[in-house]
Amino acid sequence: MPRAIFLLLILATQSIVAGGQAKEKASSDRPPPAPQFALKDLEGRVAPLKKYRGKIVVINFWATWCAPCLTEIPEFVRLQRSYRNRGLQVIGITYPPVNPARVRRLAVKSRINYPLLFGNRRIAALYGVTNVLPVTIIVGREGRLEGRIDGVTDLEEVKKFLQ
Amino acid sequence: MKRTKFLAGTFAVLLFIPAGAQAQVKSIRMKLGGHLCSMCSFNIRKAVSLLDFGPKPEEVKITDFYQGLCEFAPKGEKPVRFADLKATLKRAGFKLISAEITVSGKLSHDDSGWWIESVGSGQRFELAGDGPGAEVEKGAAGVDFELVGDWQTGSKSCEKCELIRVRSGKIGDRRSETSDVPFPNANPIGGPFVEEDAAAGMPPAPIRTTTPSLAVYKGGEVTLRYHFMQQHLGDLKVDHHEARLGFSYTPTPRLQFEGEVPYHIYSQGSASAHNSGNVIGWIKYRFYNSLETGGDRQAAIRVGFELPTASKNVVGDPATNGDEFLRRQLLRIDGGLSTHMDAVYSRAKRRFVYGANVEGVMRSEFVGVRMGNEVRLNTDLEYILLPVEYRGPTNELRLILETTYLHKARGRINGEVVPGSSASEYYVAPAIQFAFNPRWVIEGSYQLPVVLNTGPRLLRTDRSVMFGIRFMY
Repeated sequence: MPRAIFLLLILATQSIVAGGQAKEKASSDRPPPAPQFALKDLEGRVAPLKKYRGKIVVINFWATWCAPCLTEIPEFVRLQRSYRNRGLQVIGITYPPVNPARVRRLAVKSRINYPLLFGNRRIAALYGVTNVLPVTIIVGREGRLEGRIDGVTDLEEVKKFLQ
Repeated sequence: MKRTKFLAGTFAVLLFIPAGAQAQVKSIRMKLGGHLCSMCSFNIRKAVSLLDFGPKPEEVKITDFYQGLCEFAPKGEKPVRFADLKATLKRAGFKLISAEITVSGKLSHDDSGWWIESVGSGQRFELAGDGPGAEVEKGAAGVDFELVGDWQTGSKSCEKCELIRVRSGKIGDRRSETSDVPFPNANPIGGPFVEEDAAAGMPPAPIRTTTPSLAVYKGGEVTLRYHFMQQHLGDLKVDHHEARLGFSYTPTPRLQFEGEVPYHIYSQGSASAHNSGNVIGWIKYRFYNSLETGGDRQAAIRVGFELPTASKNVVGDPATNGDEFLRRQLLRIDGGLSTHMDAVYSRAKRRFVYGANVEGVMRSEFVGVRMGNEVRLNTDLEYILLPVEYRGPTNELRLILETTYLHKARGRINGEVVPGSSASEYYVAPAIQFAFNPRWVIEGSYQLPVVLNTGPRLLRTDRSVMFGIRFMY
């Protein structure tokens, strides 16, 4: 009888250890959380990332002086229009140096239907945006970094990540 | 059985290697327009790599960021298409202004014209021009040929064909420039791109092969400069107005031809005279040329001949009391056939450009008078002040400081040395230059003497102002 209890104890210990390891493995496989930020938008209001918790957030780092960045803006406008009701939010973050008046003009001209935030080098560096523009970051509903696209992208490439 | 399999395998490998190894389209060089920024260059690599024939992104080289020059070697077995390259770059936000392709393959022709067929992809490239000369017809057809030329998709006869306007070619190890190449009607520079952009009202600017500061083009330049100079000799005070019309043409990055035609007006109080000056022709050879983004270097030698074309009969000859030596100075009739020799080194380093040149002028006698031989040492320091973010020579403002040391040997009249006709002078000239776009540049400078050790028979320069306009074609 004591022998049986001893065996049961060993089995229970092993299963607990194995369970813990699996949990640990699962958590290490999960993507890291997206760095938090609170940046001003075109109206000067502060927009934090956590405001969009529960949505899939597509963050686009861009600049008015970056021609490739401008070519993909219509794609993001389409993406926002098509997927807004399915819980997707596109956010544009400018990379410095930035001319606010030019950003505003562009927002009107390109009919940008998503928030544009004035970024800085620190936020860009947190997202690993240091030597390439544009960069698109996909943040999942749980606020984790789910994907990254370096360079000009299109709707199809973003959709792959969304799926 | 095993042996048979081994031999068959070896044969298959041998058969495969030559076809795969002969990357027939050896390289594609692109000239891109649009806004280029250092962080955007990744997009060029990405866009090219998305093509069937595109290499890996890291294999696309940005050879000159400021000029938008890029280069890559396409996958040998895939056919290339200019239209696809242009479209993918357009999607990435860049404009493909022109592309130069290097292809090797078999040269052939039929009634429709000449073409080169690459072995690797089996792709056929139509060649622009009516056809080769008789000499080449004997030797070129059917032989291995490597050519370099401007590339585009489509021609009048075949919309889907890839078309090359040949710039240079090589049969075996022998390379020949356009003039030797068997395509007399091929346009070596503008070619298809001129036609393409003609609808936009203006052909694209010529491809600069180094930074704008070093002004090396595959193309040409027309310059009109106006010089105003005040001089004196004792109580005699004179004003000179001079217009200089200059031409240059650069057929290859190494060679440049230049010419200058001056016209001169002299005024002294109410008296004035005008006459044409000596025409000068130059040949410049760049023996050293290192291309690096924001750090080009070049060295060249230049030989020029000044022809005695200055008007002998001047309208309104100045009163010089029979002093022919002074008269020649006033009318800028410098002498007979003169030889100019010049060595120049210049370098761009980010926003700075600096350089120096040494020039010697050997003058000969002209109607009994010979002005003194000259040695000049010029230095040049330039700073590109605008634009703040440099993307090319558009709205580009340069601040320039030029210095000139001039030593003039004594002149002669009827073989006799003219005493007091030598000089050692040193000048400083702050200048400014503004490039509206890659074609149009205006410039101005103000030259002041710093040291004037001038002989009593020579005119002394008090100040000199220059305005100029340049057009690159």
